[in-house]
Amino acid sequence: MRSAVSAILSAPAPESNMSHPDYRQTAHDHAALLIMVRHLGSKLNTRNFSRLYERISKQNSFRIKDSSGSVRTISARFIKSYPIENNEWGDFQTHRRVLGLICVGECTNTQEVSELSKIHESLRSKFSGTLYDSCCLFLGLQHDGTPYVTSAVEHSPKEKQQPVLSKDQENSSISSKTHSTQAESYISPCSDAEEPRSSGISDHDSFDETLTTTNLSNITGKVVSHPSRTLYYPSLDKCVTLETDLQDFVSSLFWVLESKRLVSIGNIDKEKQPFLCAPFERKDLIGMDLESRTHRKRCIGRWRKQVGDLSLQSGLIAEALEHYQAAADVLRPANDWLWLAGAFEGLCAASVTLLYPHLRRPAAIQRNGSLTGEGFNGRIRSNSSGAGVRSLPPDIDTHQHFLKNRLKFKHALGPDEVIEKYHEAVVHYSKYRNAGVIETEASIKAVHVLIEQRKYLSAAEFLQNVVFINLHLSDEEKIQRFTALSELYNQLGFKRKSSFFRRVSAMRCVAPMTTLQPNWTLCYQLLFESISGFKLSLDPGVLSHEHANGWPALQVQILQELTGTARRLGNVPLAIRHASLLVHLLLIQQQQAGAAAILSSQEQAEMAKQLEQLSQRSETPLHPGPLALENGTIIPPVSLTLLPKIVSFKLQPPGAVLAAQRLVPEDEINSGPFLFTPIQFGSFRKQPTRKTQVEMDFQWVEGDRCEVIMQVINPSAYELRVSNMQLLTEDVEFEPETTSVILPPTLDPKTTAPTPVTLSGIPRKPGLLKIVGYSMTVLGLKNHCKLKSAMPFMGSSFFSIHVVPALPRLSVQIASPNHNLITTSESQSVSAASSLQLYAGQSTECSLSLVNTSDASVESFDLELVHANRLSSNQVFSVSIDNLKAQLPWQPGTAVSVTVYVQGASDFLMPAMNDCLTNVHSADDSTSLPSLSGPPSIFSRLSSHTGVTGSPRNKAKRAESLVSVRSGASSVRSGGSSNLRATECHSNSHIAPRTVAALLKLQYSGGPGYAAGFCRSTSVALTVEILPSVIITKWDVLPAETPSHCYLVLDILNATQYEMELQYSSCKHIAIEAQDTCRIPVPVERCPLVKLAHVYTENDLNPEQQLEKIAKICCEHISSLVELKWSISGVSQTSCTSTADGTEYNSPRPIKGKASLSSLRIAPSMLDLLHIPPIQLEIELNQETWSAERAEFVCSVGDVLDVTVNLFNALSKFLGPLNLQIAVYQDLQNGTFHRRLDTRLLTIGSDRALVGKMDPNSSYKHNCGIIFFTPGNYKLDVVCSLQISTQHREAKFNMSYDPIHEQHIWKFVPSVEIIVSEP
Amino acid sequence: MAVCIGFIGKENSPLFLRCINQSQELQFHYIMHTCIDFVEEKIIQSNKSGSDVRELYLGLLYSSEEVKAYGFVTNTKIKIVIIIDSTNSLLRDNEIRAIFRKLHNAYTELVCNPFYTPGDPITSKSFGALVDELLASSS
Repeated sequence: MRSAVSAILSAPAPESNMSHPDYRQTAHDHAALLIMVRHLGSKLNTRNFSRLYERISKQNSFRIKDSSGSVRTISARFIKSYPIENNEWGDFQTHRRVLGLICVGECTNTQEVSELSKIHESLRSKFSGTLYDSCCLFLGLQHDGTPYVTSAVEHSPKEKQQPVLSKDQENSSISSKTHSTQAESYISPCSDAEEPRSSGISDHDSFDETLTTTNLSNITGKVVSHPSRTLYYPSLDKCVTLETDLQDFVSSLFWVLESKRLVSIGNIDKEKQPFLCAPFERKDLIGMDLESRTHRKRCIGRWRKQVGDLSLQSGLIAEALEHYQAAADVLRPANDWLWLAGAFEGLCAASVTLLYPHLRRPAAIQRNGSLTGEGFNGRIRSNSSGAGVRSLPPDIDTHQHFLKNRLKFKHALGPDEVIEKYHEAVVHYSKYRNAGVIETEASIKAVHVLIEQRKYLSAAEFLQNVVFINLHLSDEEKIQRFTALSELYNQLGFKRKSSFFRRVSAMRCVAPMTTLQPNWTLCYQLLFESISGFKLSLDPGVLSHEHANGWPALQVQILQELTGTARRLGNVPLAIRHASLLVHLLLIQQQQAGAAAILSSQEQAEMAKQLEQLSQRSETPLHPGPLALENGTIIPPVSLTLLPKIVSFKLQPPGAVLAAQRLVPEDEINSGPFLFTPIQFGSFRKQPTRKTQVEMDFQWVEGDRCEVIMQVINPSAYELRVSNMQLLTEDVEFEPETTSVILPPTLDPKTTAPTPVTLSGIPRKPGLLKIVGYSMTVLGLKNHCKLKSAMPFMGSSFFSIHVVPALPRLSVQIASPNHNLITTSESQSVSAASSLQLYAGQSTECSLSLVNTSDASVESFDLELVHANRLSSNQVFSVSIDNLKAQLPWQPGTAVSVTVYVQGASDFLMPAMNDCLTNVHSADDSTSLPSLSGPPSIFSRLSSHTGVTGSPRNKAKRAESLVSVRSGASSVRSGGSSNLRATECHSNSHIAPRTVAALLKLQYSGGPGYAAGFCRSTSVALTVEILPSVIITKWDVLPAETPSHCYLVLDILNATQYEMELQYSSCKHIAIEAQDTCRIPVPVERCPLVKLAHVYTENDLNPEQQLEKIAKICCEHISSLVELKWSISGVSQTSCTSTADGTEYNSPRPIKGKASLSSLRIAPSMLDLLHIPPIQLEIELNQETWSAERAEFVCSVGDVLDVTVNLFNALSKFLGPLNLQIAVYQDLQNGTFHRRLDTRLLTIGSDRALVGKMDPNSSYKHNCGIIFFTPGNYKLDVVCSLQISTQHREAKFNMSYDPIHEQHIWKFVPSVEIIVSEP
Repeated sequence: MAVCIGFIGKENSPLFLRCINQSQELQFHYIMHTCIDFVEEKIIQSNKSGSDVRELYLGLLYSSEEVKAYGFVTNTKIKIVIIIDSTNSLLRDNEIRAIFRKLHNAYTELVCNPFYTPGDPITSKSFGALVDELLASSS
């Protein structure tokens, strides 16, 4: 051990210049006793030592009663280490002397105690020149139960060596002893006498023994020895007496100091004082005239200055001020600038102690500890305290304080004077090259005062001066210097300057020219601390907001340096983090409008490439979360949200087919009784949430693939490979699918269109799903991009969407027998669609096959037919699902089918004509013209008096009887023919197929979704094109041969392209050529009165309604009797067949269909023919009852033909007034009737009768006679017309005058044919 | 010898920086950046004094062995910094004031341009040419 110690001690001695500036020194330290606290041995761990040290350093102010009884405040400054070189400046400024030494160790036995004591001794000997007292503090030993420990160390205070001080020393030891007993702690003064000087222990600071000795002799003239003591504590927590022990220790120091002070004061007036000098001055002593007057003055001045120092330290500020002032007065004329400056500084220090008693000491920067993480944290705290400086009370208080002091201390300086003196001192110090450290420290002290005074600019000037002080410093110390400067600038609030120096010191750590090993860790730390000054944040979120005020070039630089340093450190993830932030920052800068790019796009691409290489180097994939450094710093994650840049982010609703719907529509509870109300129910809860999130108005379904479509732009000029893109979700289990995309480089940002990217996934649980962002791998880095940062414009941090429980899925296919017409599509809203082509009247069926393709069974099913365009499609489609519902539930995989019946419904009328008829008919109504028939009627106009009309065109073969009837008619309207032709031509060109569409809505549900009230709906679109087949262009009713029948005469147009066979009654067929029209007479039984009786008997009907009702009843009657069956056989499309008997697939089969007459509009005039009239007419000719079966009645010229007409009211209601008319005419068989027969016959009696009222079931008889003058064929018509009631008549009268106002005209059919022969 | 002229925005973001020697640009960035500290402190000081007529010229901000930086702040808190070579003793305070006046006028003209948004980095070519000319003439 001994050899080891000596080896250390023989290490080369450093230069005598003080080269260790203490950047933490303040003016207050001038008044403090410097006590070194050392850590001994390895047993005591650093943490415990630090705790103990903190506890000790808290006690930095002591109140000690001096010999005169007044209380003095003594402050102490504790340090952990102290360079011996600085100690040597103790003559110049006594506060630089280490006065006390406390060694702290832990031991369990005496062996260890003695070992540690040895180390203690060696340390003590190192600083023996200045030490007044020392003590050992051992933890782990009972202070009362270890008596022999004390025996290990001899205690024999060498008081005899201090004859001058003996009295005081005794005092001190006595007082300390009394204190010790009071404190019940074991204190044993311990001497180093037995220990050899050389037995030191390794220390960082080396010293020069001989020099120390000389130095000492300069002070007192003798080697000072002092007592040493040992304190024992069981443990750190149990050292309750530590504070009192400390008090004892300091007071012992104080007494020594006090004695020295008194000796020094005594020396002032003596003839000869020792010549004090600073270490570097010593060599100049040689050859100096020691007897000169100047030298004498110097001696006195310096001595006084030192007395001032000692006074200040021993708490006598007033005396100190006085001594300093006196010293300055002596030294100035002696041109002793160094010591003058020292005196000024002392003056300042004393004044500052008075002015700013609470001048804040900057939080401890540990000289060596700053290299560790602990020190790093400590500094961050000091930043905050530095910032707090600004919030101290204003200087007014100080000023008042000063004025108060001025009375007490007449030499005290004012705030401005302090600065002035400091300035002067610094100027003087600057004259000495070797006093650089003193100058630096003085400047820094001035800076502290200026900070207190809030004169930051002046402070900055002092600091600026510090920068220029040329010191011979090692590289490590240079780094410390810059760091300290940075710290001070930070305290001034000069953040940029602070960052600048921090960066400079960081660069120093790794500068290639230094002798040091590059210290990348320190470099990184310093760089890291400097980023705040460049307005740079490692958090990209903060960065994008605040970076605008930063300096892009500097930010890029510092990030590059950080990246490089991190890489040198071997911390690849960290390097990646910084590099990605750099890439991100460049992109942000690029976004700034008009910002001149700091780096060209090529350089940017290089950065990106570098990042990619880094990410490839990293063995483990980098976790995208925050990165924790060893010292506890958290590096926030950097997401390359701008690479690529998101333009839009849209959640896609599932296809309409797969969308979930509520079984019961919502909102019915909320809406209340009002259609609209400004009061929103539940608005309190809804409103705040709406701001932060975007809620979708659709749902996703558990187990179904859901999509989000993003629009992205590559902002960079290099190709971007984005892979593993997937959604980031919260709250609900979600199975995302990954996508990759390659974005080409963007050359012109203005013209680049965004690329859509689809992100999909499958929700696995129902609930409210939050989509918070997306993750991706770009440049080899995995990124978690939150929407908040990627899309700040969105204003919300996430999207939320409801995921409903799983629902079954049905696949729908429609098949019709005419498979060429099937189309199935997977369009958005319709799962299947089908279009058919049918001829009007044709019918077919389609089969809808449903397969449950999901894992859930279908438990509910409903089908609804929605008619898209017209109600008429109701007649076209029909479906029944009752049998399907019985099969529920459908297990997975089940296939079912629904049959849809399709009917080619049509009204079989000419479309245009139809409209026309309606118009005319309405006109009819308004004018109440019963005899008018619309254009569709074959005979454009019917005379009320003529029962028969002629037809100009070829008649149906089976209509001969009719023709024969007509042959007797007297007049046929001539214009009819041409009119008819015209309408026909017109009609042929206008027959267009009609399209009927309907939507088959299927709603189904099952599984958990059904329980939750959701269902799915799908639709099948059905479109039928109905081609015209048979079209009734015109129709009329003609009287038949018997009163019980009539003929319905139809003009049928074959609108198809094929020959058609038409069966219009049970045994009547007709073949019609394509596009040809045929007229067919259909014998129809007249509508019996039974069906109509109620219409007549109802009282509250006006005539129009009555007519309508009758027409309706008649129409139903006709359609029930008449059915037109058509068939087309020549159709070329072989498969387009309507009935499937399964045998003849290849041969053309006839298309068959039925046309119904239900939509025929029957004119009022036809009506009277169509139904059996309520008034029954009976004709008797010559008292012979005339029946329709008879062909003709023969009479001769000149005879009186007696005509008797019997009217019988078959109704149970009266009718009237009735107008009965008997008319005779001649049918010329060419369409004309000859009615003016005045010369040919004579009517005897009245040929008309007006019956006012006919009671129910009553009869009326009218009689008249006719005499024919000339032979020939005559016809007799008996017409009974029901007249309209008077008030109606008058109302109509005004509108249009018409002589005929009959409502109903009932004729006796057929007309009686009378052959008048020559007598 | 003016070596660099810089304009700094209201919020202390760089608006414009032009220097004679491109290789030194980053160094000047650092100097200008640290000068902001002084400028801000000076502005605070002048605000405290409360004089109505504010002196726009801030004087020497920073000096080192190589360069000296002079500052000027407009009423809209636009800072103009001129960095001159320390070896140059020709440029006196008056000359520097004159340069500042010219720069101020140039900036005023620039702001009059309706297409320039105050606070954006300056990209105007004519403005750049003017600054270049001043740099060339003062050197």
